[in-house]
Amino acid sequence: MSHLTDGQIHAYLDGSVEALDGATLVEARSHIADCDDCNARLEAARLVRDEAVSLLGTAVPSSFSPPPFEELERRAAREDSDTASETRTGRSSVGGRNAASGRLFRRPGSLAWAASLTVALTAGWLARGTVGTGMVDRPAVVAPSESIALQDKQEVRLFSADSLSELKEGRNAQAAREPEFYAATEAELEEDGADRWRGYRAAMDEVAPETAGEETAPADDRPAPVAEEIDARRLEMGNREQVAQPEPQREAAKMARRDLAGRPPADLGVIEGPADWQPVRREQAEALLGGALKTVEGLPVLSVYARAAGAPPEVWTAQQLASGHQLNLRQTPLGEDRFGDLEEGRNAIERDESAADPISEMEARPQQRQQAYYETLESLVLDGFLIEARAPLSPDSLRVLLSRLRD
Amino acid sequence: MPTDWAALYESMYSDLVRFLYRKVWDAQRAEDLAQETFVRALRHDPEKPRAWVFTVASNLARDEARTAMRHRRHLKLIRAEMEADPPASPAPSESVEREERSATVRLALDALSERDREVLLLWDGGLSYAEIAEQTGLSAGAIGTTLSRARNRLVTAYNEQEQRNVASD
Repeated sequence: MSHLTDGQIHAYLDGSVEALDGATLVEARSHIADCDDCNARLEAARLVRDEAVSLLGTAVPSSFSPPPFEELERRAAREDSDTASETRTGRSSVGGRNAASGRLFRRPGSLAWAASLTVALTAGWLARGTVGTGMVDRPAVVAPSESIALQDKQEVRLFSADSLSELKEGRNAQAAREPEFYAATEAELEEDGADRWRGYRAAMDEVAPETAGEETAPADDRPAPVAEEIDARRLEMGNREQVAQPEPQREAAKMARRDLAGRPPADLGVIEGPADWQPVRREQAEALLGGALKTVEGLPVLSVYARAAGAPPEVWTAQQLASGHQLNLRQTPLGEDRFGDLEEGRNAIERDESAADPISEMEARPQQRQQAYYETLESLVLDGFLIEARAPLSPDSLRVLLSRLRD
Repeated sequence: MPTDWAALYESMYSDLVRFLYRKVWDAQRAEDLAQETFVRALRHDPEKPRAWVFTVASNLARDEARTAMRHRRHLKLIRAEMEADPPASPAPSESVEREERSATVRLALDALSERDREVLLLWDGGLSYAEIAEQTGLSAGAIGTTLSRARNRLVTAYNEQEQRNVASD
């Protein structure tokens, strides 16, 4: 038998008989016993392997504590239930979690930005003959939503900026005029997510006890939603109704809401925060952060989500861009270490190039290559907070927007 | 035969956290990702659970690392700004030495090619040559060669980094 290769020697050391690559274990052992050269290489390889193992052994967490297995089982069952519920109601999973690809957060869609832009332009071109001609007595809403199947099994619902901004303009007046509508919506939402709210409330009480007694909450355990949140959830309810109800009932519900709102309901996409985060009011988010929530002045706030558990606290905010797309902000305090002593108000905007994967990785994961082109990530430090912004804009445009961050 | 996930969880959890920690370099994140991986595994009940778990964990870590990179870049930026007024150095202690050594190992791991690093970490995570081959697309015979190269490079890079650390002190 000829000398063993380095690969064979390491396979032999590791006891991986099947990987000896042609040599049998007996042959290898016999050869090493008779060959001084291979024997010496084996000992050298053993030293290297043991040193590598030792080095890797230092790169471990100092301690960790696995949760009980039953807790993970409950979580898996809950997520299964959520998925089944979404399937039944036909809710779109905008930027949804894809188990196979291992996404952690619900992102506002990678290809979705490009796809929605394309369809928006097409729909706008097709609708140009009706808008402004008096043919239809309704705002220039691109409706109903068009659903686009994407290769990442994501689906995006198209919506126009006009419809949302218009809805928000009349929001406060509607809330004052139609308290019963919001109460009814809240009652429906309660059935949908009572457990989630209770868990959220418990977590929030733990985090911000000083705010627990200040809420003028309904009789149940939930915090009163802010107008933006009501808006988003109301729209979500609208989408669910559209899919789940037979045609006559859907039309009746539409008409009822048309009467209440004074305008046809908009078919907007569901504005959801990262998975496993909870929607919060602005003041709750600020209590959690221990400071002011930063948002871009002049852009409507669609929703505010907080990670109720874990440290450091983080808050996710979605704002509406004029293009109809979302600007997502994640805000987290820098903490009490030395970075917290930085002079307040200092900006350190840095173009983040991490979204662009190496070429090899981009080839292996085409959906992320798309994301690298269609989203820009920026981060900055402001008033002791680290803020990450994500939007389908050029870096310069995003920086200009971020210069308008206000409390 | 159905997978005994409870037993697998007990036996694999620490290996998986270590594997993830060396990718995201944040203990809490590594635990979060490990738990997320097991939740997904419970929902999918894959045929080859060990390989599946490490594959999904690897994908999760890849996404997570992207986010962590942004934080790191900022911390670097801030550190550069604070050089004029450095804080008092902590007293030397065992934990500090351990952290320094861990940081050096991290730099040494970063010096490896992505494939070498992946194979090395998977092997350290407890996967067999056959399982590593299946996950990485390499032949089983190539795993030994890859491991040999990765181990040598890790040790060499670590020693070189140590020398640089000593020279800079």
